[in-house]
Amino acid sequence: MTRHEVCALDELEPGQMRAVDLDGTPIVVIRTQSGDLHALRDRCPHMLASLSKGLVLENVNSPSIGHYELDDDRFVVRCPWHGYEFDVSTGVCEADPRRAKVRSYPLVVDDGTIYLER
Amino acid sequence: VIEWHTLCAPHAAQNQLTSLICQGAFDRNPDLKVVMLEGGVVWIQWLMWRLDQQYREFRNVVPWVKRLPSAHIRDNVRASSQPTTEVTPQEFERLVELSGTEMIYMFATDYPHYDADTAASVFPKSMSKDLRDRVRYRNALEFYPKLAGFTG
Repeated sequence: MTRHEVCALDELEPGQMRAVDLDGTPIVVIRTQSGDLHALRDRCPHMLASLSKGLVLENVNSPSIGHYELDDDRFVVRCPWHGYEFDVSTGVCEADPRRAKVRSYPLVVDDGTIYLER
Repeated sequence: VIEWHTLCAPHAAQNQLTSLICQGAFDRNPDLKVVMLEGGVVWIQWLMWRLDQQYREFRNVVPWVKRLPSAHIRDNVRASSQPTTEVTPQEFERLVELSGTEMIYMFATDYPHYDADTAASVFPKSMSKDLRDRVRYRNALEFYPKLAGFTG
């Protein structure tokens, strides 16, 4: 497994994303509002938009019909084109987990620097 | 009369079904069974495709809906055949195969209206036996709780 430097941890604020080209593979590195780091393939499987141009959001959940609540421990990246949402930690689209999913990649932080491992 | 006959019942069925799904009726009542009558059946495939597409894009506005709308329809909704749309049995079978909806359809006549259907005209022997049997009786046997135990 090879390490690929992304950027310094403090260059990526909570809620921000960064697009990375890893030997021709588009990857989005995501830092959630709670500070966690994740990496997904930077292409929505619907129409291949760059997820890195979308938004990182708390997942919208519902305790009962007609009521909304936000998960503060679960984040999604929302596609800028049509709104498909992918869990940042698994790459799975909750609306259609069987058909809509993006690959996730391992990350490490070493001495204040984010690395992709591949 | 053309406008009424073309749109009235199928439009009503689609409106009602869309609301039942989006308002969470099947999530709150997983055993709820709904049969749409006298609206025909060849709109249901499009509605499933369209609702699924919209759900994939806007699940966050109906987060109480926990499954794809088409899954709710396959499990909780049936539609009766009358009025038939004049497609051939082969065209209908292809549509059923494309949409995975063989469990949806149930035969109805609309008798004694002038435009009633007969089983022989709607499901001729040129249609596959499996689909004919499903539409003529097997889907109903599986769907109506009071028919549990009947084998046809």
